[in-house]
Amino acid sequence: MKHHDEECKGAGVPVRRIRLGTPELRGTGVTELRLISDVNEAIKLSIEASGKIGLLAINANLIAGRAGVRAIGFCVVAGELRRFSDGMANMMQGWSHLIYALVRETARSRNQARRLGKLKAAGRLSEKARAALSAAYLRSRDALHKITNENSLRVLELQGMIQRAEKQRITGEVIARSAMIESAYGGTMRAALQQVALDIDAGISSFTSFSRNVGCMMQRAAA
Amino acid sequence: MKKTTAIYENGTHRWLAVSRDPERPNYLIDTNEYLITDGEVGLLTDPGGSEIFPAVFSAICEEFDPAKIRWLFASHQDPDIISSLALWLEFNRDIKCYLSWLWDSFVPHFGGTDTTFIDIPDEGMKMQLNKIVLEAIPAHYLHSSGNFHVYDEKARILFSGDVGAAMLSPDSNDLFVKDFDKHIRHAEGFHRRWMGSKDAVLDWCERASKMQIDMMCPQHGAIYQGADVMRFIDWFAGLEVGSGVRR
Repeated sequence: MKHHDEECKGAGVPVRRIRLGTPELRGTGVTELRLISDVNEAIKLSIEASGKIGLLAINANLIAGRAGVRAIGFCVVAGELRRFSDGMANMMQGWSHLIYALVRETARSRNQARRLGKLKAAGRLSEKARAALSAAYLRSRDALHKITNENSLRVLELQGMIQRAEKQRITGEVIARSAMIESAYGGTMRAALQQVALDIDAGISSFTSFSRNVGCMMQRAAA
Repeated sequence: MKKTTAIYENGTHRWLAVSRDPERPNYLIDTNEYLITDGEVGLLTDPGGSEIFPAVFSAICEEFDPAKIRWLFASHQDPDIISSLALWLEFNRDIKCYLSWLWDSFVPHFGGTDTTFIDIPDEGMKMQLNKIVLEAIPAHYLHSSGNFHVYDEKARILFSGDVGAAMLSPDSNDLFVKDFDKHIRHAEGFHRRWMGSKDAVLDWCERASKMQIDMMCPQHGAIYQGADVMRFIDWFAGLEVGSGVRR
């Protein structure tokens, strides 16, 4: 298994709440929209990896079938790999929906915050304006709080998904290791099974990379 | 904060010019807003961009209860004309906006829904403001393809949107044109470039020359009064426009 030597340990680190409602996430230079877009890019790569792993599972099954009784263990691994790939695909779909909602609501919150700023600025210019706008200001402020709170919940959900992705990553690594071990019992098909096991390892590695990258981004934003 | 000046008063009928914000950043074009009131109701022409909303709103508050502004009038769709719409709606959800039918699905990108807009047909329409009747006068292609001015026959005032606009220097604080020949130099480049069609210019000039206009109030620059109004119409009729496509 290839390990990515990254400064940030990524997934597996306790989740810290990301504070939303400011264009820049607490002096990190990372804007909310940029963070969401980065996560989305990582998801796109992972969806690609998920498709490849699905194909590998089919291939693994075919070769194990040809290897016959000697590859029963590899057959089981191939079945697990298929389930792993389906689980990943479902997970990625959930991520995509959430990311879309985050982008939409973050844009709304930015607009609302801008409006709130202008109402406040008008109030600063004259007492009469402040009095006239007080109801609008409160409405606008409440609307902004509501959007920000809802988005914070979405981010928490995203962080929960990252934790689930971490568990999925561990499962993937176990499958890759098992494939390598089972390939040794492949008899005449040993070489072919070993190649499949290496491909599985590479596929899982790209998912591991995704999981670590996203974890890193979220940590950076929550720091 | 912008300054509010009453440019016409007759009983309950008033025109207020909201202009010249000393704190306006240089990167924003200067704009004039006009609040037309009759008694307890008001219509605000080209309320401006969201950036200048605080200055416009606070200036109006000093002279008139903004809750009584029932209508906005957008001469066309540009951001310096109507991008403050969402803020006006934040203040008063029931406010309506007169706008060319051409833009009623474009301007909602700034704010508002299908119930916010009163579509003005191409030929224009009457707008009742308490006892006063205002008229939306077609000025299409000057410079927008769906463009209207507001004529108040009783006050003999024409709100002329971008027609008559002048790019004055930041230190020029005169609300009214004092020296037409000097002033028009600041209007020439703008009209040559922003106005795209000679036919549209002549159509408007013919229409405007038949109206009785004591004051012509553009959205940028200074107000033309008395003989300067006709002087402007003659000057405009003779101007070559559409400079952007000249080789």
